[in-house]
Amino acid sequence: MKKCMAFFFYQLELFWQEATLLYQGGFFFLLISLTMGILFPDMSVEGAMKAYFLITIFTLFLMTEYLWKMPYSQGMFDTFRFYPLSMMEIVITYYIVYLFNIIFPLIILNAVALSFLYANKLGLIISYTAVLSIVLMALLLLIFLVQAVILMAKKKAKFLAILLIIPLAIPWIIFSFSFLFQGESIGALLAGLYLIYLPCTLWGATWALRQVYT
Amino acid sequence: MFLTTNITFSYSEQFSIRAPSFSIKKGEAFFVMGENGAGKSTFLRLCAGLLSPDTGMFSWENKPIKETSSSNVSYLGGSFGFEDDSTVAQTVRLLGCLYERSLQEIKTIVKDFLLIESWHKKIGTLSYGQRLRLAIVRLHIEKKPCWILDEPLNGLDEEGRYIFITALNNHLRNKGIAFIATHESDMFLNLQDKGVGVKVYDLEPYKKKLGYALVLNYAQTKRNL
Repeated sequence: MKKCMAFFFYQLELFWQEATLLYQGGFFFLLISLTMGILFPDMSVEGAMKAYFLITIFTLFLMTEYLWKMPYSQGMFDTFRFYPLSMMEIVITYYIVYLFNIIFPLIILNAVALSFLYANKLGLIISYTAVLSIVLMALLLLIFLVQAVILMAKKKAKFLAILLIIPLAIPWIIFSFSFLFQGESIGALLAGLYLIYLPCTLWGATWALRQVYT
Repeated sequence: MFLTTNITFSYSEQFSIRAPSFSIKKGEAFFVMGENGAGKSTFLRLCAGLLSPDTGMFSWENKPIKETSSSNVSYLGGSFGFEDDSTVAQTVRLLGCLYERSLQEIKTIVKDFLLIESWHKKIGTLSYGQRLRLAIVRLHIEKKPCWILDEPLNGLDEEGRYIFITALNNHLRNKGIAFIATHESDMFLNLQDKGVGVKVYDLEPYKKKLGYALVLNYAQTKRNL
């Protein structure tokens, strides 16, 4: 545990040293919220959240290369492989670092930005921000999984790579349907299913990486 | 003892490596030489367990290398595996925690390799020679018996070479083993007078350069027998 914590704090320090992209993202969100507040003072919270959702996806799309490079780039992993930590410990520690460094600040930034706009509807803001955090988590998992599939394909484990595409696709199908039926009970059910599926997806990614590296 | 049994490895139909069975005993260094693109780095990655051979096996003390590499192998790849954005202090502190060494012990090693002045410098700002010294610091903190080093002398000045050869000699005298890819024969010439075992292999082309085979270089190895 002590070794995991040392690894965790090392990664955390590194991430914050180079987190300019994150600060820029924060300013970007703040700027958007203020602009929206000025241009569309009568916009509903739902409308604002949909706009935020699209902006978040767009921002993460811009950050994809940065996220992609961080955990499993070849040179880094060559070093990790020889640390006295198991593959599982490394993957989980990385995942927690990501939670700390990207998802939590973005959630807070979203909440702060929305509070500027709709100070009287805090409950709604918090619930929508929670939804947003789930979307962000799913995006990170997607990145982990795509990396795992590529690594496995490189290792000529094509059959396993094809098998992995299934867990990769399922959460996105469920999530898309839950969005289509939002506000209806079937939508809530699908969203619940999606939440249950998230840990399975994490497990799938971890398993895939273990197949590749151990 | 490090053992291999008839290794074959291929990326595709375009490139393959073959290696005969051989063993490396404690106190011995294994050098692999060959032209650019012959697969020296690939061979070292196979030895380190970072890649799996198509046939054959690499083993350490009768266990597959993949199972024992984290406790027995120190690997220095082309960029030494450092994070450019981290400082010397951050890097060695992490290594200290991972390998249960005290801060005092770590600082002594860093001082021995003349890096204490660079304690707060980012690794990305260090010269190649300083990075190599930091890599040797890492090897000393890890204290693992098997070093696998990919072209460590590339671009190194005389002082850096001396520091490296001395560290390698001490490691071999302390019953460690080392796998080294190199272009430069003066590295093992420097070792042979010190009474350590040296085996030199060449990666030679076969099949019109679509594949390379590891062949014992008798002339260079004989000098050290």
